[in-house]
Amino acid sequence: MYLEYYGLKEMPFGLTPDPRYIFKTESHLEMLATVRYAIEHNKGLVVITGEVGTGKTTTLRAALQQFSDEVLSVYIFNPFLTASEFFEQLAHEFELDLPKTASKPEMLAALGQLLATRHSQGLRTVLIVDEAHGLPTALLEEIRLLLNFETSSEKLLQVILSGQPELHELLNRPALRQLKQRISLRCQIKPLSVFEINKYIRFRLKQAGATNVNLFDNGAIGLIGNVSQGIPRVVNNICDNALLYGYASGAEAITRDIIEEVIEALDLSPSNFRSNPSSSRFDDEASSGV
Amino acid sequence: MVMNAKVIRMADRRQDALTPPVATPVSEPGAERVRRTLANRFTAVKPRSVQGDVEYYVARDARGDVVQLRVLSARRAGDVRARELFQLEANAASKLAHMNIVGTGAPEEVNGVLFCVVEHKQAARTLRELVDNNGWLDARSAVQIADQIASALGHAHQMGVLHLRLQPESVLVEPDGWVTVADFGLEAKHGSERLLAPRVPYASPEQTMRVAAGHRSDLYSLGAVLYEMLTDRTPFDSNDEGYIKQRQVEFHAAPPHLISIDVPESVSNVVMRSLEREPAKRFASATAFQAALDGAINSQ
Repeated sequence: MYLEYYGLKEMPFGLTPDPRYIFKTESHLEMLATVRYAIEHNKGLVVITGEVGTGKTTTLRAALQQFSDEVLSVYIFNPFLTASEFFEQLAHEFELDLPKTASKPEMLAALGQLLATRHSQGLRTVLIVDEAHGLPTALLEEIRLLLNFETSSEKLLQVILSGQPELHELLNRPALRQLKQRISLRCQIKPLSVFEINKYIRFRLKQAGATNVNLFDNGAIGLIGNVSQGIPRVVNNICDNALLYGYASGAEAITRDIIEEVIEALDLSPSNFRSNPSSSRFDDEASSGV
Repeated sequence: MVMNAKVIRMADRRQDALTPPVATPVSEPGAERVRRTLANRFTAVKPRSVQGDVEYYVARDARGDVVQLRVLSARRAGDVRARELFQLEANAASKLAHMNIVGTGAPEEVNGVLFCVVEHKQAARTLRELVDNNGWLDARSAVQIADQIASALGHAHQMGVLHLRLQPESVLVEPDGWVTVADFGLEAKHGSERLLAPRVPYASPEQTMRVAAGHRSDLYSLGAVLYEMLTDRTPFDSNDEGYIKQRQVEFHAAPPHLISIDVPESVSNVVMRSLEREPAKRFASATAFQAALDGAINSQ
C-alpha cells in the first residue's frame, strides 16, 4: 500500500465521512453557523443545497455534534417514501411507542405531545430530511404541516431539508408556495475553487500524518480542479487513485502525468459526473485566467 | 494518452491560481551593476531575489562575513520619493537592536547604488517556507513564534518604529525555533507609506483603505500571520485581492478554532481580537498581545 511509501499514517482520501477530515470552507462554516442559529432560535424550516459530493451530510452531522443531549435529531435519508411510510419511519425514529396499526392522527398526536414536552423542558427537536430534492410534492406538503407544531412564538420542530440544487426548483413549484413561504433560512455549499482544492489536499494529507503536504504538484492540482469541478468526493477519488498510481510507478510526487492516467482509467471528464457542467464556475475561472 | 485538450489547456491556466506571489530573480544586468559598483566593499555578490523595487543579494564583506545587501533597483535610483523612502526605512531599521530583529545597517550610497547591509541568517528559513512545507503548525509552536514576533514589534514600537509590512516572508525561523523579524520599517513620525506596499492578506483594513496606519496595524498583521500558522489559511483565504479587501471591511474572518479543532478557543480569541476592523478594538500594544497569548496557551 501507498501509506508507508508516502509517509502517511492513514488514508487521506477515504470516501467515508469522518468529521476530522471536514475541510471547512467559507460556505461550510456558513452552513454550520446557520444550522446552529436555526436550532438555537427555533427558526423552523431551513433549506440546504449543494452539488452531490460537496459534503452536505457530513457537515450537517458535524453541525449537530455542536449540541449536547439537548437536541434530539432524526434523519430521513430515503426520499422514495410514501406519506404513510414517512410517518411510520418518523414514529420509529422518535420512538413514539405506537402500535403498527396506529393511524396518522394518532401518530401526529403522539408526536405533538413529545414535541411539547421536550420544548417545555428546554430541549430541541430536529428533523433532517436528506436527498430532499427527490421528495414527492405530497410528502413535502406533509412536512409543511409538521411545521404547524408551534407555540405563539416558536416552532416546536426544526426541519432541515438538504438536497441538490434542484431542490430550489422543486420549492418554486406553485403547489409548494406555502412551504416556500415558511423557509426561514437557506444556505448553499459551494464546490471548491482551484485555490481551495490546493488547501483541501494539503489539509487531508496533513491530517493523515504526511510530513510532505506538497505531494501533489501545481500541475496535478490544476487538472484535478478542472476534472472534479471542485466536488470533494471526486477530488478524493482522483487523489486516492493518484497515490496508488504514484506508488506503483515509484513517483516521489504526484504530477499532472499521473493525474492524466487516473482520469483516463476512471473514465472521468466533466460531463461524466455532473449533470450541468456548463454552469461550472471553473469555466469562468479558466477563461479569466484565475 | 488520450486527454481532452481543452481540459488540459484550462488546467494550465489555472495553475497560476495556486502560485503565491513570490520574489522574482534579480536580472543579470542589475546584478552586474551592484557587483561592479560595490566591488571594493563586497566580494562573492550573489543575487537572491527582487521584491518590487528592492533587490536582495548575499555577499561577503571585508571581514569575510556573509551579509545580505538590500539595494534600491536601478530603475528607481533616480526617483526622489523612492530614494527618500529607502533611506527612511534603512535609518529606522538601523535604530533597532533586539534579539528578535534582524540587524540592519544605515543606508549607504556608492556611485548611485543605494543600499544597506543586513544581517544574514544562514540557517534560517522564512515562516513562509515553514508553513508552505508543513501546513499548519501545532498551536504551541505557532504561539511561540508569534510571541517572539510580538517581542520584536514591542521593541520597535517603543523606539517609534513601525513595520507596516509584516508577513510570513519577513519572519525568519532558525532550526532551534529562534525567530527574527526582517524588513523593518518606518518611524511613525514619517507617516505610513512604505517603499514596498503591504500585502493584502496581512495588511490591516486601514492600510488597504489607505488611511492612517499605526502600531495597531502591525498587530493586525501579526494576527493574520498567527491565523495562517494555526490553519494554513489566511483570513478570508483567497487568491483574489479584491475579494479579500471587500470581505475585510464587511465581515469578520472565521475564527481559527472553527476551522481547526486543534486550535484552542482561547488562542483563537486572541487572534480574532488582533483582526478587529477598528484599530481601537485591537490590543493596545504588542506587550498586551503577548500577555493575552501567553495566558491563552497556558490555560490549556
